[in-house]
Amino acid sequence: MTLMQAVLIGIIYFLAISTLSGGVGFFTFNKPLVAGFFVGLILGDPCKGTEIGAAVNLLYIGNMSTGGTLPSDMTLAAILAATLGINSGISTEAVITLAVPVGILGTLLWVGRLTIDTIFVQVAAQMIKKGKGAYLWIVNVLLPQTLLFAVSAIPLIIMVYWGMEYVERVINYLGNTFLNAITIVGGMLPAVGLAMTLKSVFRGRAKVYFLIGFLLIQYFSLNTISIGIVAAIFAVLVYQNSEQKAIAIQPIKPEEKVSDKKILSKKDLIRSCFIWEVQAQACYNYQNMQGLGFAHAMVPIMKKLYGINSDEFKHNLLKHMEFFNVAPQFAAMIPGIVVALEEKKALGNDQITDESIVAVKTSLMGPISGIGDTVIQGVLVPLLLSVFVGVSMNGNVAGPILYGIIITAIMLAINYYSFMFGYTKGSTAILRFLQGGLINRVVDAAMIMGCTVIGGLVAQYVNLRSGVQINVSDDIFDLQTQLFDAVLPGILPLILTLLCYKCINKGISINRILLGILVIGVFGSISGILV
Amino acid sequence: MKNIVLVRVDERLIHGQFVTAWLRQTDATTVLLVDDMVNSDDFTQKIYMAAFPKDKKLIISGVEKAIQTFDTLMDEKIILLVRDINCALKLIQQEFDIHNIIIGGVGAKNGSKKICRNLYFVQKEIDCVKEILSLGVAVKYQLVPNDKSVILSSDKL
Repeated sequence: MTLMQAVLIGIIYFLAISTLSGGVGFFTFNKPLVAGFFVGLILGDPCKGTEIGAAVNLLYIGNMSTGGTLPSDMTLAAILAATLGINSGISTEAVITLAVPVGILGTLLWVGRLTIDTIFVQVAAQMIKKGKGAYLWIVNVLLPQTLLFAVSAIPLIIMVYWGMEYVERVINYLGNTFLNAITIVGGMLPAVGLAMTLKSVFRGRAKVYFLIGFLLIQYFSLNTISIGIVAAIFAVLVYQNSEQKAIAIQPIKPEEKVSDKKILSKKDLIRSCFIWEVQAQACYNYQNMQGLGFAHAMVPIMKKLYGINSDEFKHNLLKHMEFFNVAPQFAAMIPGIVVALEEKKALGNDQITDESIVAVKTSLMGPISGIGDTVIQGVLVPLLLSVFVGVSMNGNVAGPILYGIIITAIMLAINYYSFMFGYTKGSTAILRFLQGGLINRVVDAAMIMGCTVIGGLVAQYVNLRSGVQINVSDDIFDLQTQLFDAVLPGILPLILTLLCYKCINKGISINRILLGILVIGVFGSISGILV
Repeated sequence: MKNIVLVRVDERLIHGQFVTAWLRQTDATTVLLVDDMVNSDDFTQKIYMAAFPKDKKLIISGVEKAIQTFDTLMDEKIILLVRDINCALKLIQQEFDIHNIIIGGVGAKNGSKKICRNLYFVQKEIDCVKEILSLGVAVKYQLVPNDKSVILSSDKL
């Protein structure tokens, strides 16, 4: 590997956790499917990179990061697995087993970052008080992101450039028994990932579709794309049959008088909307989470409403630096509403006070993120990933490319329309929209599609085969070929996945389940019970 | 039998972590949200109701009438959800059957002190936690069920 390649790999990792990748890095570079593809591209084997990325991603489709928690650093796992796999030629199943502990280690960086970033919040408050609020980008973006680069990309560059050789040597030293064992474990691991994904969609009447998806693959040998299409048809049927609940919606408050007077131009709105989209989490920190990002998005607004040298400018930026934490793109309607309220207040509407604006923020922040996380991280992203990971398990580079483009377009659109919806329609309209029940109908339908696709993935990509042979009067009875394969070939993977799902539901931590699989896999491999 | 499966203190009340993690993890059927601010504001109440998952039940109550509201519930598995630790103490004083409290993130305020990660308390809240602990109720900080938890103890506050 050249130093140049190592640096590029470091940059991919940085883009995955930075906001500088257009605010959508979390949905693109952060996913092992996409990260693996890029590492492959850098190292000259995009197909192998995609194949490993997809395999790692299968473990983490249901990896949700809500409200400032990160269960596992899947990007780091994918990058190191792809680098090792391409450089050493070790099998995909084996490298993904090695990648799992790396992912757990990576969460330390996340915690460290949110802790250190609190420093910048103090600096920002001082800056605003001194009248330098217009330069908020320095403390919200420049400094925390530079720091992030230093603590993420640089160690990774060192690791892949100098460290990989040693990892390979250790693996060679451990030899074939070790490789066989971790290969078997690697075949079982997707069961945990898929069980985790099931957690957000395996509910109510969607459950049976999981079995349908599984059987479609087992008995009819469909591929992922055809499963995806069949699943989409199920979803449409369910959506059409779901009842539109007729709720008598009364106006909540007397309609606010729509005044035609505006101070803000479309350009100001787009600027604020764009800053929110990209920089909401640039200085994500434990003290006020996205508070600094929110204030940053208000800079162009306050600039126009009051001018940068006014006391109002300082006062309002400080006000908006308060604790704020939402699912950024979906909840963009909240900064949208706030902008509209601030504009009306500046126009002299005395019914709007600082307190009422803060009240709108705090009352909406929780519930809207509750829906946002459910819709986006719970359903949309896992669904898209399931389909495209399935497409790419054999190294098809179309998977990461299509996934990346589609999810980027969706997230940018959600952010823009949500923000503008909030700005033009206000909070009453949001309540009506929620009461209308459209989101629930869509989510219910999407869950059914998700269950079907995941059922298919279990049948295709969880590998667990018995090696047990029983001597029956001079004849050998092979449990796998003569019993399981004759009835339902994938019965062991199915049982394993449902077992993992049960464990997750019982509240057993993912790391313990992974450890359990490791023990079973290694023991099964050495004893020959599993092959 | 009625059963309180979780007592959650969370500044943002219902949000992503709560809906996607706690609500699913505990398998609760009903959430009793005790908060004067939400209870007194019609709009906020409606937003909470509309945004809440349809397969579970949400009941909103003021602090004073919390125990009466609780007595009207028939369901088996209930989550008690409150905004701050003061409110949790009031529930204990109302003789709710509480043995464990799990706190989520509490952001920094004026004059607050960092306890750990994103848990910041002002002195009044620290006193409150101490009082709760002295009543024999365990208090821990945990963001989501899969996250590490930190047990709070009087001498470390």
